[in-house]
Amino acid sequence: MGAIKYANGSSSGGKGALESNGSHANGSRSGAIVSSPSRLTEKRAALPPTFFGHDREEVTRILIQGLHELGYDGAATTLSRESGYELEGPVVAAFRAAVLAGEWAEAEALLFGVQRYGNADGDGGGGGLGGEGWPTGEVNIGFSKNRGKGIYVGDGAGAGSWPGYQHQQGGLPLAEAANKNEMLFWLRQQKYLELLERRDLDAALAVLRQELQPFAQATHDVGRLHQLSSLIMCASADDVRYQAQWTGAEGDSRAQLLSALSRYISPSVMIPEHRLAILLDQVKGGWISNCLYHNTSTSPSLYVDHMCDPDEFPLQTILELRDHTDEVWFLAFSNNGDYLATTSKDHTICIYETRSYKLVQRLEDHESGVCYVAWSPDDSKLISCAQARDNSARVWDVRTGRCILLLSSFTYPVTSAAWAPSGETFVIGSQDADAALCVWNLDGDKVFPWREDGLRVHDVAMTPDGSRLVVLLETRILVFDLASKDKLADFALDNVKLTSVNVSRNGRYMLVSMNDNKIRLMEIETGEVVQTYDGHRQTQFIIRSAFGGADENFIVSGSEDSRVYVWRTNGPLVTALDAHKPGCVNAVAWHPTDPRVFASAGDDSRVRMYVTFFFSSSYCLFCCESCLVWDFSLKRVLLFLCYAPIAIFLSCSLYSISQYSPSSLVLWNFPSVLLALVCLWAFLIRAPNFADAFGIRTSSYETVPVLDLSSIYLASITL
Amino acid sequence: MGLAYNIYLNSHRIYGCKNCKTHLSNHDDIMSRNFRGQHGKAYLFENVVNITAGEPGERNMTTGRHVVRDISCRQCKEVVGWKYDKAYEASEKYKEGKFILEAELLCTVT
Repeated sequence: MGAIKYANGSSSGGKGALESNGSHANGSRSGAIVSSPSRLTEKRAALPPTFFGHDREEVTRILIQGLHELGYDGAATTLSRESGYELEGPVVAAFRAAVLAGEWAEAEALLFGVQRYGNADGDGGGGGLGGEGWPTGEVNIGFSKNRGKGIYVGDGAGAGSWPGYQHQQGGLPLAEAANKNEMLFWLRQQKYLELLERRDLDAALAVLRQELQPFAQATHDVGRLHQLSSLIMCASADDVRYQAQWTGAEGDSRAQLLSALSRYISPSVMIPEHRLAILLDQVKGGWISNCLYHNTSTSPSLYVDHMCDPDEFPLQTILELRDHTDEVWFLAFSNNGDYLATTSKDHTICIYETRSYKLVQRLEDHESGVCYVAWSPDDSKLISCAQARDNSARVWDVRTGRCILLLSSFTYPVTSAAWAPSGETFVIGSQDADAALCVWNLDGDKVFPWREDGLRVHDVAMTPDGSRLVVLLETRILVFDLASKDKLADFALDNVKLTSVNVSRNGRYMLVSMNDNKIRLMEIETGEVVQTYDGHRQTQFIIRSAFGGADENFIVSGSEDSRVYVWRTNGPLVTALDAHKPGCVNAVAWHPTDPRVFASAGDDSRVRMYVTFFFSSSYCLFCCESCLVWDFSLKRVLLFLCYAPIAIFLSCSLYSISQYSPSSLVLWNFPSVLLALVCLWAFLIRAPNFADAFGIRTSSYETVPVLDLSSIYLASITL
Repeated sequence: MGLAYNIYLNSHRIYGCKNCKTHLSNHDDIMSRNFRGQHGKAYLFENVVNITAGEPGERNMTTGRHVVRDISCRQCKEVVGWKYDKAYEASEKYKEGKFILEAELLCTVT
């Protein structure tokens, strides 16, 4: 196609030129090469110019790029031939090839055009520049006679000395925010680094002096120049690569340079990379941010507009744990999700296993209320922190329930703890002025105490990679680097009392709860507030919040008005569930691996489990002889009601021979109608509650009443 | 009801509960030392923290009739003094909203 060298891309015959910033592709009209047969032109002329409201050319070129990136090059060339649109014009293609091949002079010429002197009309087709003339200090390239001396071309300052006038010809149109100096600098830097890598030091030095130095003088940025010049001292190619943090000519540095330059080239000429994928990401991002109950981490299908079903969200309390005798202050799931630890004002810690929520351990050594627990990274140990009289921290072995370490040297309450990822050391925060924040090891030695005035720690949290430690004081947030123990940041907030902090899994954000009634998501590095959540109440007490859901899509918090609040991480309130009346909901924790479970702890000494409940039976058979409740998750029979003699015999044999022993076996003698009514009532109020009402602990959320075979004929009659 | 951490004061001389050393007030907050309580000397403080107040009751004191409530340490629940809610005589109005802590029930926490 393009017979003219510097035209901006090609255009199909007669279909209108490509958009370019003010340049004229009219030059191509004289040589308008319609290489396709006239029939194709006619067909093209018959197609509407827009595709459901979108410009045909844009859509087709994006599709061509998408096909290339998917690997279907044949299809891409067929498409470009059939539609007449090219993905990249010859100039852009030549530029791309020049950069990837390392032909720097040609790349510069193609990118910025060529300086021409003399007559007004050079070769036809004055392709203009996207920019607005020469920024001062830009070095003339290409065909200037004074190449070696690096002259500055001012705004027409040099014009007077030339017989004609100079104008830019060719070059690619650049984007609005393009910084030509920067682009030129990158090209030359790459050239310089490659020469250094080839150990061609003389040429490298020449490049440094003639082509790079003028930039430093122009932009007053000598730092970069000094850094580059120091690379001359490198002993070998590997050293150059290491010092400059550069992947080398053989590596992907040229491709990266091309990406960086392409961002500054006008997008209609050189379509940004992966444009189709970016558009699809934006569509999905829009769906997900609008989806209120989005509790999955799988990418939604493109076939259907995505909206999650509220029934999949855990909104119902299906279980209440009643083992504590006083206010429950804190709860935490283990890192693998197998256990739940709850702590209370009654001096005890209860550990449950999360399949059937049976009490596994009860740790009773503390002598005052326990306000915090922290699971070790491998979930074998637990640190607990006690308040007031006790003022101690204990490390427990979870399996045996024994206390393996007691740290009682505190004179004021211990408030929180965090394990380092190695599991060998941990940080304990307390309100003791002497040892407020200190790293301990498993032998009970203080590895590193931080000494600072006025440190009274309310909460600590560690990033999952163990690099940053976030410490909450009453009105300040401190961030420490754990390796060097330096204080990296100190954010002071006014008029607030900070109550809890949690760090996100990617280690970039922290969720801070504070009085009054504020929860903020802040960036750890800068302290910038990314999102705030409101609606809940906290003014006097320590109320904790946490991340939750698949992919940390939700924020949950307790509140002083006895409700559990759930927000989407991007802001909107999902729901406020009534819980633990009266009194505060002190803490809420979400299961780390199962997004359908979370738990809340309140002042009524109960712990509530919220689980997605669905009744998976398609219908319920009310039999007249017996009723069996089968738990799919536990794979056991929970309840077996039977009263007919045959059924009793069968059930006893089932009990003895089956590995699935029922947790309860109830033998009743009921008239069939009455039992049918009872089963109907159970179905209506949902079976687990029925089982719970009879005092049988269940955690099943898939239950199905199953008919026992002996009475199948009766059942078919009743149905 | 709920978990609450104690408030800690910053000053060179802090008075705390004799029993559990919870910070109660600063030395600078003393308004007058000229008071007597059930256990002897008592001081009038402007601002006291970490206390819970009881029910208001009318009492006849040496200076007249007042409505006061007993205040106790939040942590150990020991009574440490009282708080003036209302004073019936005009000359005693300055005491309203202020706190009396008995010296016998305090200790210095520095």
